Formats: sequence, C-alpha cells, structure tokens
Amino acid sequence: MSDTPMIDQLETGPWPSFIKDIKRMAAKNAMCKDLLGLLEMSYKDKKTHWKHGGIVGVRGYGGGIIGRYSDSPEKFPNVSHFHTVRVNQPSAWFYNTGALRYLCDLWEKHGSGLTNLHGSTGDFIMLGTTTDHLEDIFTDLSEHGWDLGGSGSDVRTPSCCNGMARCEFACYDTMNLCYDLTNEYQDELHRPAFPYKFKFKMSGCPNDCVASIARSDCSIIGTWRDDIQQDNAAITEYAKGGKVDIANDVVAKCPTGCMSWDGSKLSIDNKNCNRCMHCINVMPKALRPGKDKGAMILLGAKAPIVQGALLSSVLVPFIKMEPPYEEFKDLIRRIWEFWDEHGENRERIGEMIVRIGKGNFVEEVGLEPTPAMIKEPRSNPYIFYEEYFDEE
Amino acid sequence: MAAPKRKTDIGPPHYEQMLHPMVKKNYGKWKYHEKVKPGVLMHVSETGDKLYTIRAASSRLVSIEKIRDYCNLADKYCDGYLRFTSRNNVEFMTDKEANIQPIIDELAKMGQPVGGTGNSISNIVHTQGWVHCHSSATDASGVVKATMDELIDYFTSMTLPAHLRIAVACCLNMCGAVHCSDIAILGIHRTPPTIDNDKLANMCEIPSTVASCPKAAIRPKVVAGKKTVEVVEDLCMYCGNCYTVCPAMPIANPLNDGISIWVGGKVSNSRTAPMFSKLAIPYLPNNPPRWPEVTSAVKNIVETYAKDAKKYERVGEWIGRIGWQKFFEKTGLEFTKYHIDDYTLASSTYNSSTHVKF
Amino acid sequence: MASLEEIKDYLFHKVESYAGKKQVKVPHLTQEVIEHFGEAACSKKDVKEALKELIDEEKLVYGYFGGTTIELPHVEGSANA
Ligand code: HEM
Ligand code: HEM
Ligand code: SF4
Ligand code: SF4
Ligand code: SF4
Ligand code: SF4
Repeated sequence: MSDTPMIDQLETGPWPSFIKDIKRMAAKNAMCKDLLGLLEMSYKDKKTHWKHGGIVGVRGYGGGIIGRYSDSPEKFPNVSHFHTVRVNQPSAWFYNTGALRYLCDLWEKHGSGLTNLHGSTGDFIMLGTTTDHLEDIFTDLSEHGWDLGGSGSDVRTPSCCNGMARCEFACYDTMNLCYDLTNEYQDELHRPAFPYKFKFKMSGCPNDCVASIARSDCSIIGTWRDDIQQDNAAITEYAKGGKVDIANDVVAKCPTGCMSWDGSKLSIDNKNCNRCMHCINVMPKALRPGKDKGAMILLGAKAPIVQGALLSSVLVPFIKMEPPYEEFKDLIRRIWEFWDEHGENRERIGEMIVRIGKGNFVEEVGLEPTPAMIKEPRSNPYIFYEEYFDEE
Repeated sequence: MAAPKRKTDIGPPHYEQMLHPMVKKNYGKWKYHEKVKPGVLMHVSETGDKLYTIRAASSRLVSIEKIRDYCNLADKYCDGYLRFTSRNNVEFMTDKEANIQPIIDELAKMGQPVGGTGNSISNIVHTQGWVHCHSSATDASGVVKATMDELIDYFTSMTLPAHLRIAVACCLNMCGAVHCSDIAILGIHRTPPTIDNDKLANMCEIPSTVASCPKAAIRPKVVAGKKTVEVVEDLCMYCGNCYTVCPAMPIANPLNDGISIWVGGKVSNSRTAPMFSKLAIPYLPNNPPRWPEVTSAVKNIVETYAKDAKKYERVGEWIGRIGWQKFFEKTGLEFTKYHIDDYTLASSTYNSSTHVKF
Repeated sequence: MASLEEIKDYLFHKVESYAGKKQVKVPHLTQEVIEHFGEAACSKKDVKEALKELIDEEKLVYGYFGGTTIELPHVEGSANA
C-alpha cells in the first residue's frame, strides 16, 4: 500500500495535479519525498505541520527569503528546513525558455525543484531549500542577471499586466513602468526600512487584470481623458452580424447612461462616461480608449488583518505616465516621507490614511482635494475646522 | 573572509529579452482581439500581424520537470517564448494559426486543459496551505484541485453570464487577496491558540509574544513559578500572529478549523465599481482530501448564478439586482446571525429602508 | 556632524540594549539615533548608510516580527525547538 493514501486521491481528475508533480520530483529529490509524507500527515491530522522561521537571508538583504521549519524533523528530516526563495520575475511573467531552463537548473542543484508560478505578489517562488544553499543561490542568480524579490517591511516585488505587449486597451506601458520602478527602488526593496510592507501593482486599463485596486498599496491603473475612439464601420458590422445586441448589451448596460443607439448610429456623450470599459470590452474591434492616455493613482488597498480590508481609493485622477516618470516618483517620495514620519508600527498606508483622515493626507502630500477622491462627502457634522473667526 | 563574487541590487532581467519577436514588433500597436474559441485568443495588430495565444491550466505548484515540459512545447511551436498569467495559467503564443491545434493536443497529453478566457471560470488564485505555511487553517492546493475538478466544464467553455473568479486563502492573512472575488474560499480558525506553558517559558520572549497580538489579547502570567502568558479569549480573533512569534502557541485546531465561503466581489471597473466579497457560508468542515462540502457549495452557487443572472452580470451585480434575500432563497443557503456584521461600521450594512421582498 | 563610525556605534548599542526586551524596527531606530545626535548632525540618510554597513558586516541582522526588525545575530529559535 502507498504511504500517502489520502493525497494520492488528488492525482485523478481533469485539473492538473500538484501531487503528481511533487511525486515526479520525488523520484530524484529526497526533500520532495519527505514533503509528500508531511503533507499526508496534515491531510490526516487536519492541521499544518509548519512553523514560522524568522531570520534567514542572504548577506546584506532583509528580504527575499522566507524561513520555514517543520514540526516533525525526526520523521521527515529532509524538510525540517524548507525555506522559500522569492526571485523577482520579469515584467508580466514573460519568459524565454533559456531563462526558465536556467532557473530550473539552478533550483535542481540547490533546492527541492518545486516552485510556485507565481506567488500572489508576483515573484518566481522557489519552494524549499536549506540555509547553507542561500548564498550560493544568490551568487549564481546575480551572475546570471537575476535578483531577489521583497519580503518584510519593504517595497514588495512590483507586478503588472501584460499591457502593450499584448493588449490593445493598455493606456500606458505597464511593463516598462514595472521594470523602471523595480530598479529605481532596489534599495527600498532589499533593505526593509518602512513601517510595514508597500506594494505596487500596475494595470493598463480599468479592467485591472492584476487586481491592483484590491491588492496593492499603490495601484496604478491606466485611463484616458479624451473621447473613446469609435470605428463606425466596425460597429455596423457587430450590429449587422447580430453578434452584439447593441441596444441591450451595450447601451442599456452603460452605467452612466451616456450612450445612445438609433439602430444605425452609436453616440457617446464622452463628457459623462466614467471609463468603466464595458462597451469597449463588448466591442473591442469598434471601440478603443481615447488617445490622451495616462494613469490614475489610487492608494491604500490591503487584506483584512487587522482593521478590515480596504480597497485603494483615488489620489490622482490623471497623470501622464511616460519615462522617466519623474512626476510620479516625486509624488511617491512625498508619500513615503510622510508615511515614514507618521506611520505607526505595522500600519499599512491605507490604514494610516483612515487614521489621520484622507483630507489631511491629501494636503500633507501637496495635492488639492477634488470630488474624484470620494464616493460622497461626509454626512456627519463633526468637522474639525482649522480656521475660524475671533472677535476682534 | 573572502567575499564571494556577487552583485547586488541589479533587479530582474529586462522584459524585452523575454518577448516573442512578433510581440516585440507589435508592442503598443495591438488593434483588437477576438476569442477564437475557449482558451484561444487572436490579437490583431495595426500592422496586420496576427498573434494567437493558447491559455492552459497550470497547478501553480509546479516542478521544474513540468516547467521543462512547458519549455519544450514553447521551443517546438512558439520560437522559445511563453508566459504565465496573473491567475497562474500558462500561455503559449504563436504567429502560426496551424500551430494552435498541435499545441492544444500536446497540452492535453500533458494533462493541461485549455480554457479560462472570456465568460469562464479561470484558474483559482490561491495560497500555500499545508504545503508550506504555519498559519493555515486548511490546505490551498488541494482545495483548488478538488474544486476545479468539479468546475472543469466552466473552465473549458465560455457559457457563463460573465467572468467568474474564484480565490482560495488558507487563513485570514489572505495572501491570495481573496476578498474581492466572485467566490472566495477562506480557511478559518475558530478557537484561540493553545498554550504550552513549559515550552513557552523556554522558547519564547514574553514581551515579544505579548506585543505580537494586534488585539492586545495576550497578557503575561506566572504558572507554577514559570513565566508564561494567557490569552483573553473574548478579544482573540484567531489571527495566528502569536504563533508566528512563539511556536509554543499553536493556533491550529483540527476539530474546529474549517472553511467559509464569500461571494460577490470583483476588481474590474466594468459597469459597477469594484466590491468586496460578502459572507455566504460561515463554516464548512475541513474534509480532505477532496472537501466535498466545499466543492458542492461552490458548485451550487455557480449553478444558481449561471441559471439566474442576466448576460454580463458578475455574481455581485446579479445579487445587487435580486437582493440578498433572494440570493439566500435561490441558493437555499441558511442565513444565520453570523451573517450580520458586528465589526466596525456594521450599521452601514443594516437594511434601513422598507425595501423587502415577500 | 556625527561621523559614520559614531552613528554605527550608537546604533549598534541601541539594538544591543533592546535584545530580548523589544523588537525594534527601522523607523523607530532611525528616530532614536537622530534624536541622540540632533537633526543638524545626523540625517535619515546617514542612519541608513550606517545600518547598511552594520548589516553588510553581519554585526546586525534583519529579523521578522510582524514586519521587519533589526536584531543581533543569533540562531533562529524554531530551527532547533
Ligand atoms: C507565514 C506564513 C506565510 C506564508 C507561507 C506566506 C506566503 C506568501 C506568499 C508565497 C506570497 C506570494 C509572495 C510573492 O509573490 O512574492 C504571499 C503574499 C501575500 N501575503 Fe503572505 N505568507 C505568510 C504570512 C503572511 C502574513 C502574516 C500576512 C499578513 C500580514 C500575509 C499577507 C500576504 C498578502 C496580503 C499577500 C498577497 C499580496 C498580493 O496579492 O499581491 N502573509 N504570502
Ligand atoms: C475584453 C477585454 C479584456 C481584455 C483584452 C483582457 C485582457 C487580459 C489579458 C491579456 C490577461 C492576461 C493578463 C496578465 O496575466 O497579465 C487578462 C487576465 C485577466 N483579466 Fe482581462 N481582459 C479583458 C477584460 C477583462 C475584464 C472585463 C475583467 C474582469 C471582469 C478581466 C479580468 C481579468 C482577470 C481576472 C484576469 C486573470 C485571468 C487569467 O489569468 O486567467 N479582464 N485579461
Ligand atoms: S488591465 Fe487592461 S490593459 Fe491590462 S491586460 Fe487587462 S484589459 Fe489589458
Ligand atoms: S466606458 Fe462605460 S461609461 Fe463609458 S460609454 Fe462605455 S459603457 Fe458607458
Ligand atoms: S493565507 Fe494564511 S495560511 Fe495561507 S499562506 Fe497566507 S498566511 Fe499562510
Ligand atoms: S490568535 Fe491573534 S488575536 Fe488571538 S491571541 Fe494570537 S495574536 Fe492575539
């Protein structure tokens, strides 16, 4: 009988099986064999058999390696130490096979041979090695043009959608910005010095395919200021072929009611469009974002721990996004300076903004308040007036 | 000590060397795209060039052997280029239409179904679980495998009213940021950590342990002459932070840990603004290896939505139209007092109107 | 002006004084060091440089404790337990 009857049951079925993959590796790697045993034990006991590990890393860096130890070193000695290496991925996860094969060979030599493609922050995750391999891994990586990603209270590895490389909706060059920021902030990424972590994610349009609005402290989402580009011949083609019911599927679904369709001509009141992307998504051949393109900067998303989840909210409604991105970097510098000074221990930037008030924050980083920053004005009367008249 | 030869702060490789020549040539020039069939996209450039993308499921936890298989396929048909998506699928791009079917066939042989485009259920974003995390209340990869085995037909077709995005996180830390998904599967601890007084006194720094709790639920205490701590149970929210700092305070509790289900979140701005997922099922038991209670609950929600939603309505938009009353009625899910929010700002979730359906 | 060596010295002793009592993070340490020397004599950048050197020399190490901390080098507890 198999040693792992429970997890074996995850080898069948149409979806790719991670158990099959671990087993394949286990044929030549003892760590994987013990990982299977440890995992089977978790499936049986219905509980984790990992412990946290604090400080492992490579010399000089405070991020990129996560220590992990199992609670059953006697039973499964080969995974008693099983650290994670976060390797900074190339923009939008494009690879040539030479690059991928190099990473595979390195990981065959120095670790379990298991990976996550990719971590939810974006890194190429190498899953499982021991402390004595770390310096060798890093030296080898850096000789071949790779570096580690972030962890701890630093800039986390930025990630982006595939933007202009393969999407007609991209309103700025996400992959270039991602590469540029990652390099600009190497020190902040490798030497944690913030109150807590800080994530950048960039999507080329409001479809937000990397979920930046939910998952990053700073969400950079492409948008445009002028009119949607409209190809009337292509609209007619969509309508004629019966491929799209323009009245019902497009006009009636427009959230701002800014479109009309008289059976042959589509009109858009662009001044009232909120750039939701619906019509463009439905008829990509006929409608495209405008030509005056840039990005919107939103701040503050985080998962629930501790005070509840937050979505990012608008800070700058429109900014041109072209190299070298000076205006944007200048804004980030002001934001970090303020956060550094006023952020409390373990406080994400979104939480700090809620604590001190978005109005105050906006003022402190040198921006003007605008209605685009809010869903609605306050409904309570507890205003802290900073100016009032004194009797002479 | 002789410093090894190493460079620091060089960042990732430049993306240009990772791009297929056709992608590089048409960078920023894409004009429109079509979904040729489930899992296959055609992008057309202003230059007239056409690029075909085949998107296939991947398990996220992949071995280097599997990655090498992907590389072989990319070398054979895609001039040595490939990419991975934000939801952990793998994509093969080719400029030759004739390559589409052979790629699909070879992927089928490798056990990687093709799909996840358009109005489908794409890959499930997920976390580490029992494979690699000390906080986990459940496994992640196993839950994903079991769920996608059930929902495979929605991955390989585009028949849903809209995209449906599922995410799994194995504890409240939510490394997968599940809180804005159409359906979120979230592992939960329901009991405070247990304290091993003997071990704690030896292993853990008391001040650090006390400071680790975001709810200030941990207090120093002396038991039988040993310095240890106690947990004020009413304050504890089962976050597991203390266990991260002090291995003598395990949070896992096999009898009580389990899974909760959340619905109606989205991140795209299409039509409606992004929204959080809301509680649908407060607790389902951990039942490895295939979590039948979880997969059937998810399937029920998907099927009810598929039947009832109008074209282009995401799960959250559908519920927005029919109302939560009808959601619970149509799905047959039990409504309990746990569904009523009691955290900060809870009152904004009460129904302060006479809008009720009978 | 405080010299880099002086800043390094003070920074190291601060961390040493916290060992086993409090998990210190970079923003907190930075503030303390600047307060000690005075803003005119020591900037944020100076502290950063000093910390980088101490870390590169492996006199101090990064730790993790609900965010990144600065610690004296020691063997990770859960590695042995
Ligand atoms: C100790 C066990 C933990 C493990 C094994 C773990 C693992 C991971 C991994 C592998 C990633 C993806 C990283 C990447 O792509 O570089 C990640 C992301 C993340 N982690 Fe953790 N993590 C742990 C603890 C935590 C804690 C304590 C928190 C909360 C404070 C947390 C919150 C997050 C979040 C929100 C993300 C996702 C961010 C995004 O969507 O981009 N994790 N985690
Ligand atoms: C029809 C217009 C759209 C186009 C051309 C498009 C394009 C893309 C592309 C190229 C990717 C891969 C991105 C990457 O990994 O970097 C992607 C992924 C994704 N998009 Fe979109 N997108 C469109 C509409 C939408 C909409 C309306 C939504 C949300 C409602 C959305 C949500 C997502 C999600 C969740 C993913 C991850 C999918 C996966 O990896 O399987 N997209 N999209
Ligand atoms: S976010 Fe927009 S630009 Fe980026 S891939 Fe998605 S649809 Fe395209
Ligand atoms: S983008 Fe949205 S708001 Fe603007 S016209 Fe299209 S459907 Fe209407
Ligand atoms: S969600 Fe929780 S249990 Fe899962 S990997 Fe993240 S911290 Fe660990
Ligand atoms: S589980 Fe979280 S809330 Fe409960 S005692 Fe531990 S740290 Fe505090």
